Amino acid sequence: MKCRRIRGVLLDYIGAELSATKRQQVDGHLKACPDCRAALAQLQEVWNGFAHQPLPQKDEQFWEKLTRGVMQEIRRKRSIPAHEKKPFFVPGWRVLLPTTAAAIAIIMAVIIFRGGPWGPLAPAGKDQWVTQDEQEALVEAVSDLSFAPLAQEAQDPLGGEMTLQEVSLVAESLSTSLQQAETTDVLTQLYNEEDPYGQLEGLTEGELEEFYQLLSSKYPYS
Amino acid sequence: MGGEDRLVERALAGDEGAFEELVRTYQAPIYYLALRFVRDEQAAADLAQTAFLKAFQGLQNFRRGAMFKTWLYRIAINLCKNHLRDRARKGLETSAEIDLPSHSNPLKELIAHEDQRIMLQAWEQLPERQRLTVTLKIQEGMKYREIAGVLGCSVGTVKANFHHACKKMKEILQEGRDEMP
Repeated sequence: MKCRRIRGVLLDYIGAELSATKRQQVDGHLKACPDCRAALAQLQEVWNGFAHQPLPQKDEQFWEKLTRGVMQEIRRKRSIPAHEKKPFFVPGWRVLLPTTAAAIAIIMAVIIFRGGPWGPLAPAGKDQWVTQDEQEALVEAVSDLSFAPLAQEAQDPLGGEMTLQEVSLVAESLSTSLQQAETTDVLTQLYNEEDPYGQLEGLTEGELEEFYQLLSSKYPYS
Repeated sequence: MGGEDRLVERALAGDEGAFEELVRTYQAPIYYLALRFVRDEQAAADLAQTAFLKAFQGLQNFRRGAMFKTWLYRIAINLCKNHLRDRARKGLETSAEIDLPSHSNPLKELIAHEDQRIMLQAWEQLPERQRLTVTLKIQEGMKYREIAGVLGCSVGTVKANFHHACKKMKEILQEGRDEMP
């Protein structure tokens, strides 16, 4: 074997990690090679330096105390009743608190999204139908108006004068061509007893009451 | 089944006496292993005690057929690593000096002290993994295969770590001696 290979296994030689055959080969080489013997001596010194690292010697009392300490602790842990032992996993407040908060937030979000705790307050799309009913009711109500002031000329929203027939047409056009939102606005204004078209201004109290009676009979949803 | 395996089986069955025997067998190696690492006698004693407690608590998970010694060393080494990391995090130095035995001859003591100083200096410069390997190989007399089991790496890695550590120690020792008057 060459010196380089021998030196590569010298630590294994010291540490008894070589097979019997290899060990014999190294022994044979070392007998004949003073350089490798010197390398071995150096490594042996390092090895011995590690191996004989001085450590404090402990007396019997120390070891007895150590053993007693371990066994006492084991007995102490064993003597703890089962109900006092900490279970494998008990979520503490650090886990419970954010989990509860998250659950409450989710529930609140669902309630708000659905429009109430037991679902939507009104069935989906009902608002639209109501609006359409209101539009129809308005058209009918305005068409059936037969008392005098409304049959006479009245002011339209643009400031011009219009007949009852024209008012009907406007009302119809409101329900057909205007945006639904605008129609709703008109109706809201009517309910609030406002008169955007100025047609009710000239009515007497009795006529006005008759108008509202007629309107409420045609429009029972209010 | 060997004597140690039987002790482990009995301990598993709840026999405290059997576990006490295991403690008596391994307390010195585990204590000195910890002491070499943490260089603090009180901490080493605490770590050794904790290692046995952890071993007892985890005995149900101990794989039958595996070596109890390897398993116990692994527990102790992990505890030592954690201890050193905690100490480093807190910025603490070794609090207690190791009380070394003294020589009767003052000259011998001086030379030995100097050699020890150089050795200790060299030792401190080694990476943790290499120090562990050297301890288990030289001071505990383990085979490469056994060390690989304890450290959870391959035999090749153990060999490489060991060879690097020794080479470095040889160089540091040589440099130290060259600097001596």
